[in-house]
Amino acid sequence: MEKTKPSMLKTIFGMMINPSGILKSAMLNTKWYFSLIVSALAFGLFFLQTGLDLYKTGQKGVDFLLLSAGVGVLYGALLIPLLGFLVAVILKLSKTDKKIGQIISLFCLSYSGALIYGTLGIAFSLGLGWKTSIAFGVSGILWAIGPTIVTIREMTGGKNAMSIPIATIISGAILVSWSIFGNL
Amino acid sequence: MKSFVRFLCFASFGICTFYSVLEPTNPCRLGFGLLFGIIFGWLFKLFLNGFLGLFNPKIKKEHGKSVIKNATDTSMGFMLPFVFMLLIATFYLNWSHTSAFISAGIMAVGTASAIEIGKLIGKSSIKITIVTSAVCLLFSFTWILSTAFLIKVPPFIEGGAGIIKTLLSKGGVG
Repeated sequence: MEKTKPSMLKTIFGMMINPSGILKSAMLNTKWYFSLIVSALAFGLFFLQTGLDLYKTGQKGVDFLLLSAGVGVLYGALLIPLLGFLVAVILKLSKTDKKIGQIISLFCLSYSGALIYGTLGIAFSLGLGWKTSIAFGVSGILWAIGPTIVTIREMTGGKNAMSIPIATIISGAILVSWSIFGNL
Repeated sequence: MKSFVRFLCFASFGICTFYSVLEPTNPCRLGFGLLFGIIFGWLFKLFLNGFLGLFNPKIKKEHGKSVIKNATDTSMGFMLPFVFMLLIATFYLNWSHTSAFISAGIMAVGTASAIEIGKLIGKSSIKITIVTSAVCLLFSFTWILSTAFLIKVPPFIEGGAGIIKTLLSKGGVG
């Protein structure tokens, strides 16, 4: 029997709500560039919200707003895959049978929740004038922790010993680096 | 060890919620937060165990009573990244509104519990996911709503203790 390929939206929402349920099909059917677009857009929108918040309070100008979006996209397109690569190397050292490309792709896809929150945040920020970088932006990053843990856990045969410490360090590093950017 | 992780996570949640940048070492705030966090964590575990046991009598029969307890204990470890981020937000970034970290952490336990139970029954179950998510959502809301009121309690305790102390030092009323 032929299995149907999940749609892009189903993959994104599934990764946010029920990552363990969608992980196997996502690993087989998701193209690497789709995962890269997800993380690039997720962080682009997150950083754009930061720029918008600072612009609304008069702390920064339009140039910083554009810079925020650009830095965010680069953050999601370069730094997140790089972190994914480091995770893949650690997992390879612990004898996972998954390919490095698959691990990086799923790691980037873990930020699907951040993309959904980012989209909602931008809508509320532009539509209602709310300050959304913490309420929606940081919440999105928080929502990505679960899928990150589940992804690493699945790659290591269901063990939490590696997934929780790795997710903890990465999430903490993202929060600190984002706050440093916001204070520039 | 797993129970200690739960204790540590909820103690941190409590301390960070009642911590104030203006009074960083206030023992009343920190002590009340610690106590509230520990009691809340204990209740959360009790409810999660109870509901999972209620909806999975077959698992309890097949694998023994402690299997649900072990599953929820393991899933409590999922809160650690959220605790770490909460500590950064509270003590490094000096944020005062950190309930998002706590509610996301509690919700992550729901996902993790569903996964742990799924491992026992050999497949992921929508019913279990809904049950664990509902319990976690309830506790997440309870935390947010109750702390909004309870944040006023430590100053009252402090005030009351101050009055008693004054009365005692002056030899009582009258």
